[in-house]
Amino acid sequence: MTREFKLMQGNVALVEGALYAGCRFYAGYPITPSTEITEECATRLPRVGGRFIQMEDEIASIAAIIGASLAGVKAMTATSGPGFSLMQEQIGYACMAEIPIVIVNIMRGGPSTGLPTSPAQGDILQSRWGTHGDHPIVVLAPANVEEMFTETIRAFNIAEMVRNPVIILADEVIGHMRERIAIPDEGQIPTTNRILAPSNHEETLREDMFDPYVPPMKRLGDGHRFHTTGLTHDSKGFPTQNPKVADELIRRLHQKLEEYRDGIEEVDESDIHDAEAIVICLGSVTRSAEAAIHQLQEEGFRVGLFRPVTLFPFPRKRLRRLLKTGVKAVVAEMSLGQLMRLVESASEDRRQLYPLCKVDGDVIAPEEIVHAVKRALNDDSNS
Amino acid sequence: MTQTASTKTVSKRKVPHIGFDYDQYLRVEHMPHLWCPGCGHGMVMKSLIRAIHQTGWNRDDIVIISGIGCAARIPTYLDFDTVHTTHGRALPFATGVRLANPDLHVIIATGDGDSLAIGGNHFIHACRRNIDMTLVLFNNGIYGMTGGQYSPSTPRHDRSATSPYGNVEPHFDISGLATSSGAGFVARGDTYHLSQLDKMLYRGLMHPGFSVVEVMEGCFTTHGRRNRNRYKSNLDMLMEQKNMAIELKDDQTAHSIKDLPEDIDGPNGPKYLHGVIYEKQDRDNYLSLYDEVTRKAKKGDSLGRVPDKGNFKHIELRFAGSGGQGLILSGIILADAAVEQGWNVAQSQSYGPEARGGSSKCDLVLSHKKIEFPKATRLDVLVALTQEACDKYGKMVRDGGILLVDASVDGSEHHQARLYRLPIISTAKKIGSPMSANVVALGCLHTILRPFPKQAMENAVSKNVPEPTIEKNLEAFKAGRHLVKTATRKKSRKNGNGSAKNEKNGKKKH
Repeated sequence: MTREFKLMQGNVALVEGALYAGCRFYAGYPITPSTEITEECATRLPRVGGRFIQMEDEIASIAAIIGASLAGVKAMTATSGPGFSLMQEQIGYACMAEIPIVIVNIMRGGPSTGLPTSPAQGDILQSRWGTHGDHPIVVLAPANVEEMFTETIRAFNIAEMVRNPVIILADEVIGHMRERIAIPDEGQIPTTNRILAPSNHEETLREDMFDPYVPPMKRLGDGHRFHTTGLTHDSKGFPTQNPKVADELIRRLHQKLEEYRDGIEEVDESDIHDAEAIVICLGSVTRSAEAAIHQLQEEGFRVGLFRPVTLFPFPRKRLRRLLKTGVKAVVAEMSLGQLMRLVESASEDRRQLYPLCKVDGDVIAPEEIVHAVKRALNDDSNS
Repeated sequence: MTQTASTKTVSKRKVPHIGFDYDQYLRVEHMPHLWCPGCGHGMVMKSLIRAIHQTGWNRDDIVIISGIGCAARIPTYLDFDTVHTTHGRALPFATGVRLANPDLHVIIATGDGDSLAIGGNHFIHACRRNIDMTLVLFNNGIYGMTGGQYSPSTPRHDRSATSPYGNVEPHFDISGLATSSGAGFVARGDTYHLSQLDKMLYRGLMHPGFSVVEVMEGCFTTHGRRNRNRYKSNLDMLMEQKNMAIELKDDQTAHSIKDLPEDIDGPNGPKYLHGVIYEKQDRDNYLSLYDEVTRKAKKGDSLGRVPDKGNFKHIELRFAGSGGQGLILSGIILADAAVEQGWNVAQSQSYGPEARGGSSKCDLVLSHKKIEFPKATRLDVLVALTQEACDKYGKMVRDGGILLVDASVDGSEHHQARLYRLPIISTAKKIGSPMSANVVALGCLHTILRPFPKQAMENAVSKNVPEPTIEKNLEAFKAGRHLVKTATRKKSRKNGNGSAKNEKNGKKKH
């Protein structure tokens, strides 16, 4: 396997992954710490026959990529904190109209303008529930520069496969960090394209479809004369107030992620068998957790790692199986308990969970995790 | 992708007003429409159908996009590819469609509230970019769908659901706004002069840039009936258009008409210019300009190579100082050289919001093992260019680690470190490139540490600095290398132990 090694910044690796996956349209608005993605796309896209545009704000940026995706082109936008808040309404539109797009949020300290140049993980629950209404969403959380590349490819693949927006939730540390990564040759990592409805004027009925959950996508200009709307609509795309149709639509939108769960869920587990304690974390905290775990293992402790790479849908079942053993879990996060809320939903005994929260704009250091694990192990209040 | 839709040939197709088969363009199965009796939207929609028919375009190349509101329901009834988007955002959606597939003809149907209040920002920027699309702006001066609240184009003093005592806000001159924002074609029609509207819409569709066709309309249900002093029925609203429109002939512009009434087009005036207000065929168009960008963009370069691992193990470095000193770049240069030499590298940084000034640091972990925590914690090397940086991080340098500071910095309190205090900043100034202090520091580090072959370092410098400054930076790198040599030599002469802890080499502390 020929691989090319490069020193690459996380944000740049993400663009590399997007291009590898076939992204040919980008619309964005500058904001720290995601700006490098916009800059890199401005440079790279015209080289590969794609197009780039800097829009007037983040709302326009995400609207433009939805338009591009409707025209049949894989499209992406990237932002941070405040810009992510602005994008929420259109995320819901893309969920409702089933338009595949990739949205990147390089998290920074919040709320509001917060700490623009510092890492945080305070957008965990916003990435799930930021837009209004019940909606399906996929969120991926890369933990290093290599994953910025590979998870971005996966993000496009999932988006195309289930016709849903996919959010990449990284943070300032991973976005700005530079590491040596290997860029595989074209074709070594599989990429997926949406299934296009055949271009004729006949209506494509759901019943005829190969997949009852994800309808083939119609492309603008193919002669379908189809309608797309954010209103609740029937299977032909036209607005309806029919309660039965509305119910079926919303349930199907959710069910499609369940049907494809195996292809979406991704968990990074290590040394969890026989562990007396595990560290649960995501994103850049993983790096500190790995260092801490190795140190603890050298000292003779049996400590493992559980990290959702696919943050949503949350790997609840897998975590529940693990927590059922009674293992103590330190939940390390750069937010005030947002990850803990998810972990709690998988635990039958909350006394086994130990929070380690940091919101000062700095990364959690390995020693802090070592300390938290030791304290958890010494705590016998629940045994 | 090429821009093909802009080559529009003038069609000689005739469109009769009477006996024309509208149904061929309508989704009659979704009728009746939701517009009230007396509403102008149906008239504008039919006018738009006639104009589209006249272009003779392939129907399947036409996409109609709308936002939210009464006018925005038009796509539901028109049998084309149609996209009903979110409130105010039709234009950015359309921009994405048009850029992704320039073969499509994009028409946007929007109301005054949709495109000027919530979508006002998108409106002016779409005009500015002048991308070949046609915006039909249904200006009925009210938010109809939500029940008659005042919009940015409701006339002053008019009553509405949210201005029960009369509207105190002035209204936009939409056509003036479009013209000054850069749209290539701007026209204003109304629902009274329908034949002229057909022509305006046709010319707008054929125009090779961004076209705005504003259509004056009345909404009796939510606007007229709250202002019965002026309107007894929807007919009065229609007749008002007859009286208030001041017609521009084909060869006239707003400036060429003498003695325009004072109450025209202004924020208070009910009278308006009617006709093609602005047209310029060769105003720069984003799509043709972007084709230029594509030509200019060169092929990507390849910088990878298969690494060979040496005997090196693990080293943690930090470059610290103030923003604008190029510390992050020095980290990147060293990281790049390291990758070329086959090491694992993690480079990270933290800085304040300022582009210049403020504190800045860059961490570099070089290792042959997998790098877990990407920040430097126990420093093998600290390069500090400011006193603040030295005070803050000096204590993190490990015993026997290297502390390289500028001559203006006092690092003597950090006894555990091997201190190198060198005139880095002044050397950069001396060679006429004060911005290259970071590269001078790299030169110093090269001599002190000898991490990689000189050639690898020089390659990394050339690759990462802006092209016009390569020569200066290589000079700075060389100056840095010699700086340490000179310093050690001087010192050896003085105390003969090879240590660089010699205050004489630097300037006095500021």
